[in-house]
Amino acid sequence: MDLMQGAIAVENVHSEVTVVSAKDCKVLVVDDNMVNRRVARLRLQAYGLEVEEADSGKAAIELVRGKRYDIIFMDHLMPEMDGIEAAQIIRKDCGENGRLPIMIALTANATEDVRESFLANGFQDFIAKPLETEPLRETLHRWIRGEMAPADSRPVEFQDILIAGIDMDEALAHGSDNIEEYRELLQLYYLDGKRKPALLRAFWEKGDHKGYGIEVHGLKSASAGIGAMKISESAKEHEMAVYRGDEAFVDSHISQLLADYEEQVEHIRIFLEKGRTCMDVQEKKQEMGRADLLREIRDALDSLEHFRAKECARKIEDILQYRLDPDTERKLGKIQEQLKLYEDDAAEQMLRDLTKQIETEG
Amino acid sequence: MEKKLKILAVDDNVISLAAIEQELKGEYEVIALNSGLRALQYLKQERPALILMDIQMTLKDGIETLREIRDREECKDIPVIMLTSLRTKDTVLESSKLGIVDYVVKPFNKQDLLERVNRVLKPDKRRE
Repeated sequence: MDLMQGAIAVENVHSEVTVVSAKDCKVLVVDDNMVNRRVARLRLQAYGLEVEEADSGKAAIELVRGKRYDIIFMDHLMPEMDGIEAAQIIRKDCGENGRLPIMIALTANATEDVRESFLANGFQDFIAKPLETEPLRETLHRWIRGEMAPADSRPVEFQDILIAGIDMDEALAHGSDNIEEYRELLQLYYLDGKRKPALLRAFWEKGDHKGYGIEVHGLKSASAGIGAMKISESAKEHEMAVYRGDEAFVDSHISQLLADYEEQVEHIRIFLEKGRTCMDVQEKKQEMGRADLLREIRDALDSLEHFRAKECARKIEDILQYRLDPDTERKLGKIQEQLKLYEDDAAEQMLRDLTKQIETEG
Repeated sequence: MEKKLKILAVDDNVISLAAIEQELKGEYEVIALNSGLRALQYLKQERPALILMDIQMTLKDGIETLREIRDREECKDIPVIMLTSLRTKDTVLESSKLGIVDYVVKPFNKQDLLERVNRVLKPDKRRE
Protein backbone atom coordinates (compact mmCIF):
# COMPACT_ATOMS: atom_id res chain seq x y z
CA MET A 1 0.00 0.00 0.00
CA ASP A 2 1.22 3.38 -0.95
CA LEU A 3 2.13 5.78 1.75
CA MET A 4 3.46 8.97 0.30
CA GLN A 5 5.65 10.67 2.75
CA GLY A 6 7.13 14.06 2.95
CA ALA A 7 9.48 15.21 5.56
CA ILE A 8 7.27 16.68 8.15
CA ALA A 9 8.84 19.57 9.93
CA VAL A 10 7.08 20.09 13.19
CA GLU A 11 6.83 23.81 12.67
CA ASN A 12 5.47 23.65 9.19
CA VAL A 13 2.77 21.11 8.94
CA HIS A 14 0.73 22.68 6.21
CA SER A 15 2.98 21.48 3.44
CA GLU A 16 4.33 17.99 2.78
CA VAL A 17 1.31 16.27 4.11
CA THR A 18 1.10 12.57 4.43
CA VAL A 19 -1.91 11.33 2.58
CA VAL A 20 -3.23 7.88 2.94
CA SER A 21 -5.11 5.65 0.56
CA ALA A 22 -8.54 4.53 1.69
CA LYS A 23 -7.82 0.92 0.86
CA ASP A 24 -6.26 -0.87 3.84
CA CYS A 25 -6.25 2.30 5.85
CA LYS A 26 -5.61 1.38 9.48
CA VAL A 27 -6.85 3.65 12.20
CA LEU A 28 -6.11 3.70 15.91
CA VAL A 29 -8.39 5.49 18.37
CA VAL A 30 -6.87 6.43 21.70
CA ASP A 31 -9.14 7.66 24.48
CA ASP A 32 -9.48 6.65 28.12
CA ASN A 33 -13.26 6.95 27.92
CA MET A 34 -14.95 3.80 26.68
CA VAL A 35 -18.03 5.54 25.34
CA ASN A 36 -16.03 8.04 23.31
CA ARG A 37 -13.90 5.21 21.93
CA ARG A 38 -17.00 3.35 20.89
CA VAL A 39 -18.53 6.32 19.12
CA ALA A 40 -15.31 7.01 17.29
CA ARG A 41 -14.90 3.39 16.30
CA LEU A 42 -18.45 3.05 14.98
CA ARG A 43 -18.29 6.26 13.01
CA LEU A 44 -14.97 5.38 11.45
CA GLN A 45 -16.06 1.83 10.67
CA ALA A 46 -19.03 3.29 8.81
CA TYR A 47 -16.47 4.59 6.32
CA GLY A 48 -15.14 1.11 5.80
CA LEU A 49 -11.95 1.78 7.75
CA GLU A 50 -10.19 -0.78 9.94
CA VAL A 51 -10.26 0.55 13.47
CA GLU A 52 -8.47 -0.47 16.65
CA GLU A 53 -8.67 1.02 20.11
CA ALA A 54 -6.31 1.86 22.91
CA ASP A 55 -7.36 3.16 26.29
CA SER A 56 -4.23 5.09 27.18
CA GLY A 57 -1.13 6.77 25.77
CA LYS A 58 1.00 3.92 27.06
CA ALA A 59 -1.20 1.29 25.41
CA ALA A 60 -1.08 3.22 22.16
CA ILE A 61 2.70 3.38 22.19
CA GLU A 62 2.92 -0.38 22.68
CA LEU A 63 0.52 -1.04 19.81
CA VAL A 64 2.31 1.32 17.51
CA ARG A 65 5.60 -0.43 18.15
CA GLY A 66 4.14 -3.70 16.94
CA LYS A 67 2.02 -2.52 14.05
CA ARG A 68 1.74 0.26 11.54
CA TYR A 69 -1.21 2.63 11.73
CA ASP A 70 -1.97 5.21 9.08
CA ILE A 71 -4.05 7.53 11.19
CA ILE A 72 -4.17 7.90 14.95
CA PHE A 73 -6.96 9.78 16.69
CA MET A 74 -5.74 10.68 20.12
CA ASP A 75 -7.45 12.30 23.06
CA HIS A 76 -5.14 15.01 24.22
CA LEU A 77 -6.16 14.86 27.86
CA MET A 78 -5.80 11.51 29.53
CA PRO A 79 -4.76 10.42 33.00
CA GLU A 80 -1.13 9.31 33.43
CA MET A 81 0.29 10.12 30.03
CA ASP A 82 -1.43 12.82 28.05
CA GLY A 83 -1.94 12.80 24.31
CA ILE A 84 0.76 15.28 23.51
CA GLU A 85 3.45 13.32 25.30
CA ALA A 86 2.27 10.10 23.70
CA ALA A 87 2.21 11.75 20.29
CA GLN A 88 5.79 12.88 20.64
CA ILE A 89 6.96 9.42 21.65
CA ILE A 90 5.07 7.84 18.77
CA ARG A 91 6.55 10.28 16.28
CA LYS A 92 9.99 9.46 17.57
CA ASP A 93 9.41 5.70 17.40
CA CYS A 94 7.81 5.75 13.99
CA GLY A 95 10.22 8.35 12.69
CA GLU A 96 12.93 5.76 13.11
CA ASN A 97 11.01 3.30 10.89
CA GLY A 98 10.20 6.06 8.47
CA ARG A 99 6.49 5.46 8.72
CA LEU A 100 4.80 8.38 10.37
CA PRO A 101 1.11 8.04 11.04
CA ILE A 102 -1.15 11.02 10.70
CA MET A 103 -1.92 12.18 14.20
CA ILE A 104 -5.22 13.83 14.88
CA ALA A 105 -5.97 15.25 18.32
CA LEU A 106 -9.35 14.63 19.88
CA THR A 107 -10.33 17.55 21.94
CA ALA A 108 -13.30 18.81 23.87
CA ASN A 109 -11.88 22.23 23.32
CA ALA A 110 -11.52 23.09 19.67
CA THR A 111 -10.69 26.75 19.72
CA GLU A 112 -8.05 28.52 17.60
CA ASP A 113 -5.42 29.01 20.27
CA VAL A 114 -5.57 25.37 21.24
CA ARG A 115 -5.12 24.50 17.57
CA GLU A 116 -1.71 26.09 17.40
CA SER A 117 -0.48 24.16 20.38
CA PHE A 118 -1.62 20.86 18.85
CA LEU A 119 0.08 21.59 15.57
CA ALA A 120 3.24 22.57 17.38
CA ASN A 121 3.19 19.34 19.35
CA GLY A 122 3.19 16.66 16.76
CA PHE A 123 -0.41 16.60 15.63
CA GLN A 124 -1.33 17.27 12.02
CA ASP A 125 -4.95 18.01 12.71
CA PHE A 126 -7.52 18.07 15.45
CA ILE A 127 -11.20 17.41 15.76
CA ALA A 128 -13.79 18.00 18.45
CA LYS A 129 -15.15 15.07 20.38
CA PRO A 130 -17.45 13.29 20.49
CA LEU A 131 -17.05 12.93 16.77
CA GLU A 132 -19.81 14.43 14.70
CA THR A 133 -20.82 13.65 11.17
CA GLU A 134 -19.74 16.71 9.20
CA PRO A 135 -16.47 17.47 10.95
CA LEU A 136 -15.44 13.84 10.66
CA ARG A 137 -16.31 13.67 6.98
CA GLU A 138 -14.25 16.78 6.28
CA THR A 139 -11.30 15.52 8.29
CA LEU A 140 -11.25 12.12 6.65
CA HIS A 141 -11.48 13.61 3.19
CA ARG A 142 -8.61 15.87 4.04
CA TRP A 143 -6.25 12.99 4.79
CA ILE A 144 -7.58 10.01 2.91
CA ARG A 145 -7.43 9.67 -0.82
CA GLY A 146 -9.77 7.39 -2.69
CA GLU A 147 -13.22 5.94 -2.26
CA MET A 148 -14.43 5.29 1.21
CA ALA A 149 -17.54 3.32 2.06
CA PRO A 150 -20.69 5.43 2.12
CA ALA A 151 -21.28 6.84 5.55
CA ASP A 152 -24.07 5.94 7.90
CA SER A 153 -27.47 5.69 6.31
CA ARG A 154 -29.27 6.64 9.49
CA PRO A 155 -31.10 9.95 9.58
CA VAL A 156 -28.56 12.65 10.30
CA GLU A 157 -29.74 13.75 13.72
CA PHE A 158 -29.82 10.20 15.02
CA GLN A 159 -26.17 9.72 14.19
CA ASP A 160 -25.21 12.28 16.76
CA ILE A 161 -27.19 10.84 19.61
CA LEU A 162 -25.10 9.06 22.13
CA ILE A 163 -26.51 7.90 25.42
CA ALA A 164 -24.84 5.23 27.50
CA GLY A 165 -26.87 2.04 27.46
CA ILE A 166 -28.83 2.98 24.36
CA ASP A 167 -28.48 1.30 21.02
CA MET A 168 -29.70 3.77 18.40
CA ASP A 169 -30.04 1.09 15.76
CA GLU A 170 -32.56 -0.68 17.95
CA ALA A 171 -34.46 2.54 18.60
CA LEU A 172 -34.69 3.07 14.86
CA ALA A 173 -35.77 -0.53 14.35
CA HIS A 174 -38.74 0.13 16.61
CA GLY A 175 -39.91 2.83 14.30
CA SER A 176 -38.41 6.04 15.65
CA ASP A 177 -37.61 8.03 12.57
CA ASN A 178 -38.30 11.47 13.86
CA ILE A 179 -35.96 13.09 16.33
CA GLU A 180 -38.70 15.11 18.05
CA GLU A 181 -40.77 12.04 18.67
CA TYR A 182 -37.79 10.11 19.95
CA ARG A 183 -36.99 12.87 22.43
CA GLU A 184 -40.58 12.74 23.61
CA LEU A 185 -40.25 9.04 24.27
CA LEU A 186 -37.01 9.63 26.13
CA GLN A 187 -38.68 12.27 28.27
CA LEU A 188 -41.48 9.92 29.14
CA TYR A 189 -39.08 7.14 29.94
CA TYR A 190 -37.33 9.54 32.27
CA LEU A 191 -40.52 10.77 33.98
CA ASP A 192 -41.75 7.22 34.31
CA GLY A 193 -38.36 6.12 35.54
CA LYS A 194 -38.52 8.52 38.46
CA ARG A 195 -41.21 6.49 40.13
CA LYS A 196 -41.01 2.98 38.69
CA PRO A 197 -38.00 1.60 40.60
CA ALA A 198 -39.73 2.22 43.93
CA LEU A 199 -42.91 0.72 42.58
CA LEU A 200 -41.10 -2.41 41.42
CA ARG A 201 -39.45 -2.87 44.77
CA ALA A 202 -42.74 -2.34 46.58
CA PHE A 203 -44.49 -5.01 44.51
CA TRP A 204 -41.76 -7.53 45.14
CA GLU A 205 -41.33 -6.83 48.81
CA LYS A 206 -44.98 -7.19 49.58
CA GLY A 207 -45.07 -10.46 47.71
CA ASP A 208 -47.11 -9.33 44.72
CA HIS A 209 -45.22 -11.44 42.21
CA LYS A 210 -47.83 -11.09 39.54
CA GLY A 211 -47.74 -7.30 39.82
CA TYR A 212 -43.97 -7.38 39.70
CA GLY A 213 -44.06 -9.63 36.66
CA ILE A 214 -46.37 -7.26 34.83
CA GLU A 215 -44.21 -4.28 35.66
CA VAL A 216 -40.97 -5.87 34.46
CA HIS A 217 -42.81 -6.98 31.37
CA GLY A 218 -43.67 -3.34 30.77
CA LEU A 219 -40.13 -2.27 31.53
CA LYS A 220 -38.83 -4.77 28.99
CA SER A 221 -40.98 -3.34 26.21
CA ALA A 222 -40.53 0.28 27.10
CA SER A 223 -36.77 -0.07 27.26
CA ALA A 224 -36.62 -1.87 23.92
CA GLY A 225 -38.79 0.87 22.46
CA ILE A 226 -36.14 3.48 23.13
CA GLY A 227 -33.18 1.22 22.42
CA ALA A 228 -32.13 0.61 26.03
CA MET A 229 -31.33 -2.99 25.28
CA LYS A 230 -29.37 -3.90 28.39
CA ILE A 231 -32.24 -2.95 30.66
CA SER A 232 -34.65 -4.66 28.33
CA GLU A 233 -32.66 -7.90 28.53
CA SER A 234 -32.43 -7.75 32.31
CA ALA A 235 -36.12 -7.03 32.63
CA LYS A 236 -36.82 -10.00 30.39
CA GLU A 237 -34.77 -12.26 32.67
CA HIS A 238 -36.82 -11.11 35.61
CA GLU A 239 -40.04 -11.61 33.73
CA MET A 240 -39.06 -15.16 32.87
CA ALA A 241 -37.97 -15.84 36.44
CA VAL A 242 -41.37 -14.75 37.72
CA TYR A 243 -43.05 -16.84 35.09
CA ARG A 244 -41.26 -20.02 36.16
CA GLY A 245 -41.63 -19.22 39.85
CA ASP A 246 -37.94 -18.64 40.44
CA GLU A 247 -38.19 -16.24 43.39
CA ALA A 248 -34.57 -16.77 44.36
CA PHE A 249 -33.42 -15.28 41.06
CA VAL A 250 -35.37 -12.09 41.56
CA ASP A 251 -34.35 -11.86 45.22
CA SER A 252 -30.70 -11.95 44.28
CA HIS A 253 -30.95 -9.75 41.17
CA ILE A 254 -33.55 -7.12 41.94
CA SER A 255 -31.14 -4.62 43.42
CA GLN A 256 -28.91 -4.82 40.38
CA LEU A 257 -31.85 -4.35 38.02
CA LEU A 258 -33.11 -1.32 39.89
CA ALA A 259 -29.63 0.19 40.13
CA ASP A 260 -29.08 -0.30 36.39
CA TYR A 261 -32.53 1.13 35.66
CA GLU A 262 -31.87 4.21 37.77
CA GLU A 263 -28.51 4.67 36.11
CA GLN A 264 -30.08 4.46 32.66
CA VAL A 265 -32.68 7.03 33.64
CA GLU A 266 -29.91 9.30 34.88
CA HIS A 267 -28.00 9.01 31.59
CA ILE A 268 -31.18 9.98 29.78
CA ARG A 269 -31.75 12.91 32.09
CA ILE A 270 -28.25 14.21 31.38
CA PHE A 271 -28.82 13.86 27.66
CA LEU A 272 -32.14 15.70 27.84
CA GLU A 273 -30.61 18.47 29.95
CA LYS A 274 -27.95 19.10 27.33
CA GLY A 275 -30.52 19.33 24.58
CA ARG A 276 -32.71 21.78 26.36
CA THR A 277 -32.66 25.11 24.57
CA CYS A 278 -32.63 28.21 26.68
CA MET A 279 -36.18 29.27 27.14
CA ASP A 280 -36.64 32.95 26.78
CA VAL A 281 -37.65 34.35 30.07
CA GLN A 282 -40.95 35.64 28.87
CA GLU A 283 -42.45 38.63 30.47
CA LYS A 284 -45.55 37.01 31.91
CA LYS A 285 -48.47 38.87 30.46
CA GLN A 286 -50.62 39.82 33.38
CA GLU A 287 -52.22 38.56 36.47
CA MET A 288 -55.31 36.51 36.23
CA GLY A 289 -58.18 37.37 38.52
CA ARG A 290 -59.47 34.70 40.82
CA ALA A 291 -62.79 34.42 39.07
CA ASP A 292 -61.12 34.00 35.69
CA LEU A 293 -58.65 31.48 37.06
CA LEU A 294 -61.45 29.43 38.54
CA ARG A 295 -63.33 29.47 35.27
CA GLU A 296 -60.28 28.41 33.26
CA ILE A 297 -59.42 25.58 35.63
CA ARG A 298 -63.00 24.31 35.67
CA ASP A 299 -62.91 24.43 31.89
CA ALA A 300 -59.73 22.35 31.80
CA LEU A 301 -61.25 19.88 34.26
CA ASP A 302 -64.33 19.61 32.09
CA SER A 303 -62.21 18.66 29.07
CA LEU A 304 -60.48 15.99 31.08
CA GLU A 305 -63.76 14.61 32.44
CA HIS A 306 -64.84 14.19 28.84
CA PHE A 307 -61.68 12.28 27.98
CA ARG A 308 -60.11 15.13 26.08
CA ALA A 309 -56.77 15.01 27.85
CA LYS A 310 -54.79 16.85 25.19
CA GLU A 311 -57.28 19.69 25.22
CA CYS A 312 -56.97 19.85 29.00
CA ALA A 313 -53.18 20.00 28.73
CA ARG A 314 -53.41 22.87 26.25
CA LYS A 315 -55.75 24.81 28.50
CA ILE A 316 -53.39 24.39 31.43
CA GLU A 317 -50.51 25.51 29.24
CA ASP A 318 -52.51 28.66 28.44
CA ILE A 319 -53.24 29.32 32.09
CA LEU A 320 -49.53 29.04 32.87
CA GLN A 321 -48.85 31.96 30.52
CA TYR A 322 -50.35 34.21 33.15
CA ARG A 323 -48.73 35.36 36.34
CA LEU A 324 -49.97 33.05 39.08
CA ASP A 325 -49.23 32.51 42.72
CA PRO A 326 -46.32 30.09 43.11
CA ASP A 327 -48.34 27.36 44.79
CA THR A 328 -50.93 27.33 42.03
CA GLU A 329 -48.23 27.39 39.38
CA ARG A 330 -46.44 24.47 41.01
CA LYS A 331 -49.64 22.45 41.25
CA LEU A 332 -50.51 23.10 37.63
CA GLY A 333 -47.00 21.99 36.72
CA LYS A 334 -47.53 18.72 38.56
CA ILE A 335 -50.86 18.23 36.84
CA GLN A 336 -49.16 18.72 33.47
CA GLU A 337 -46.63 16.07 34.41
CA GLN A 338 -49.39 13.62 35.30
CA LEU A 339 -51.09 14.27 31.99
CA LYS A 340 -47.84 13.65 30.14
CA LEU A 341 -47.67 10.29 31.87
CA TYR A 342 -51.26 9.52 30.87
CA GLU A 343 -52.24 9.50 34.54
CA ASP A 344 -55.56 11.12 33.74
CA ASP A 345 -57.29 9.91 36.90
CA ALA A 346 -54.59 11.45 39.09
CA ALA A 347 -54.63 14.67 37.07
CA GLU A 348 -58.41 14.87 37.39
CA GLN A 349 -58.25 14.47 41.13
CA MET A 350 -55.54 17.10 41.44
CA LEU A 351 -57.56 19.52 39.32
CA ARG A 352 -60.61 18.96 41.48
CA ASP A 353 -58.59 19.55 44.63
CA LEU A 354 -57.10 22.71 43.15
CA THR A 355 -60.53 23.96 42.16
CA LYS A 356 -61.82 23.39 45.67
CA GLN A 357 -58.80 25.08 47.15
CA ILE A 358 -59.28 28.21 45.06
CA GLU A 359 -63.00 28.24 45.74
CA THR A 360 -62.54 28.15 49.48
CA GLU A 361 -59.69 30.67 49.45
CA GLY A 362 -62.23 33.31 48.46
CA MET B 1 -62.97 17.76 5.27
CA GLU B 2 -63.45 14.27 6.57
CA LYS B 3 -63.32 13.99 10.32
CA LYS B 4 -60.65 11.59 11.56
CA LEU B 5 -61.74 8.22 12.87
CA LYS B 6 -61.37 7.71 16.61
CA ILE B 7 -59.08 5.04 18.00
CA LEU B 8 -59.13 4.13 21.68
CA ALA B 9 -55.68 2.98 22.83
CA VAL B 10 -55.45 1.28 26.21
CA ASP B 11 -52.12 0.41 27.83
CA ASP B 12 -50.73 1.00 31.28
CA ASN B 13 -47.27 1.50 29.84
CA VAL B 14 -46.38 5.11 29.14
CA ILE B 15 -43.89 4.49 26.35
CA SER B 16 -46.28 2.15 24.59
CA LEU B 17 -49.08 4.70 24.67
CA ALA B 18 -46.80 7.46 23.50
CA ALA B 19 -45.48 5.38 20.62
CA ILE B 20 -49.02 4.45 19.56
CA GLU B 21 -50.09 8.06 19.67
CA GLN B 22 -47.09 9.29 17.74
CA GLU B 23 -47.62 6.80 14.98
CA LEU B 24 -51.40 7.04 14.60
CA LYS B 25 -52.19 10.67 15.33
CA GLY B 26 -51.40 11.70 11.78
CA GLU B 27 -54.30 9.79 10.31
CA TYR B 28 -56.53 9.21 13.31
CA GLU B 29 -57.80 10.83 16.46
CA VAL B 30 -56.24 8.86 19.29
CA ILE B 31 -57.68 8.69 22.78
CA ALA B 32 -54.93 7.23 24.94
CA LEU B 33 -55.96 5.86 28.32
CA ASN B 34 -53.81 4.09 30.84
CA SER B 35 -56.29 1.67 32.37
CA GLY B 36 -59.05 -0.73 31.49
CA LEU B 37 -61.29 0.95 34.06
CA ARG B 38 -60.92 4.32 32.45
CA ALA B 39 -61.44 2.77 29.03
CA LEU B 40 -64.77 1.32 30.17
CA GLN B 41 -65.80 4.72 31.51
CA TYR B 42 -64.91 6.26 28.17
CA LEU B 43 -66.94 3.69 26.29
CA LYS B 44 -70.04 4.73 28.21
CA GLN B 45 -69.77 8.16 26.59
CA GLU B 46 -68.10 7.64 23.23
CA ARG B 47 -67.87 5.17 20.42
CA PRO B 48 -64.45 4.77 18.80
CA ALA B 49 -63.98 3.06 15.45
CA LEU B 50 -61.33 0.74 16.85
CA ILE B 51 -59.90 -0.36 20.18
CA LEU B 52 -56.19 -1.11 20.62
CA MET B 53 -55.60 -2.78 23.93
CA ASP B 54 -52.73 -4.29 25.87
CA ILE B 55 -53.54 -7.75 27.17
CA GLN B 56 -51.53 -7.54 30.37
CA MET B 57 -52.20 -4.59 32.61
CA THR B 58 -52.22 -4.22 36.35
CA LEU B 59 -55.55 -3.56 38.06
CA LYS B 60 -58.02 -4.54 35.39
CA ASP B 61 -56.28 -6.49 32.70
CA GLY B 62 -56.99 -6.60 28.98
CA ILE B 63 -58.95 -9.84 28.93
CA GLU B 64 -61.30 -8.78 31.70
CA THR B 65 -61.83 -5.44 30.04
CA LEU B 66 -62.48 -7.11 26.72
CA ARG B 67 -65.00 -9.40 28.32
CA GLU B 68 -66.87 -6.45 29.71
CA ILE B 69 -66.76 -4.67 26.39
CA ARG B 70 -68.31 -7.67 24.72
CA ASP B 71 -71.04 -7.68 27.32
CA ARG B 72 -72.20 -4.20 26.55
CA GLU B 73 -74.66 -3.42 23.81
CA GLU B 74 -73.20 -0.08 22.92
CA CYS B 75 -69.65 -1.24 22.25
CA LYS B 76 -69.62 -4.99 21.76
CA ASP B 77 -69.24 -4.77 18.01
CA ILE B 78 -66.29 -2.37 17.94
CA PRO B 79 -63.27 -4.09 16.36
CA VAL B 80 -60.43 -4.81 18.79
CA ILE B 81 -56.71 -5.30 18.18
CA MET B 82 -54.85 -6.74 21.16
CA LEU B 83 -51.26 -5.93 22.04
CA THR B 84 -49.45 -8.87 23.49
CA SER B 85 -46.11 -10.43 24.24
CA LEU B 86 -45.29 -13.80 22.73
CA ARG B 87 -45.56 -15.59 25.99
CA THR B 88 -49.17 -14.75 26.55
CA LYS B 89 -50.17 -17.13 23.79
CA ASP B 90 -52.94 -18.64 25.89
CA THR B 91 -54.41 -15.28 26.52
CA VAL B 92 -54.30 -14.54 22.81
CA LEU B 93 -56.41 -17.64 22.26
CA GLU B 94 -58.69 -16.56 25.05
CA SER B 95 -59.10 -13.12 23.59
CA SER B 96 -59.75 -14.43 20.11
CA LYS B 97 -62.63 -16.41 21.58
CA LEU B 98 -63.93 -13.02 22.64
CA GLY B 99 -63.49 -11.84 19.09
CA ILE B 100 -60.50 -9.76 18.09
CA VAL B 101 -59.58 -8.80 14.56
CA ASP B 102 -55.82 -8.90 14.99
CA TYR B 103 -53.05 -8.87 17.53
CA VAL B 104 -49.70 -7.10 17.64
CA VAL B 105 -46.67 -8.44 19.45
CA LYS B 106 -44.77 -6.13 21.78
CA PRO B 107 -42.34 -4.51 21.55
CA PHE B 108 -43.96 -3.46 18.32
CA ASN B 109 -42.69 -1.73 15.25
CA LYS B 110 -44.62 1.51 14.79
CA GLN B 111 -45.08 1.27 11.05
CA ASP B 112 -46.33 -2.28 11.40
CA LEU B 113 -48.92 -1.11 13.90
CA LEU B 114 -50.16 1.59 11.55
CA GLU B 115 -50.49 -0.90 8.72
CA ARG B 116 -52.60 -3.26 10.80
CA VAL B 117 -54.85 -0.45 11.94
CA ASN B 118 -55.26 0.76 8.36
CA ARG B 119 -56.12 -2.75 7.27
CA VAL B 120 -59.11 -2.70 9.60
CA LEU B 121 -60.24 0.88 9.21
CA LYS B 122 -59.20 1.73 5.68
CA PRO B 123 -59.26 -1.54 3.79
CA ASP B 124 -59.64 0.19 0.44
CA LYS B 125 -56.62 2.38 0.95
CA ARG B 126 -53.47 0.93 -0.52
CA ARG B 127 -50.33 1.88 1.35
CA GLU B 128 -47.75 3.21 -1.11
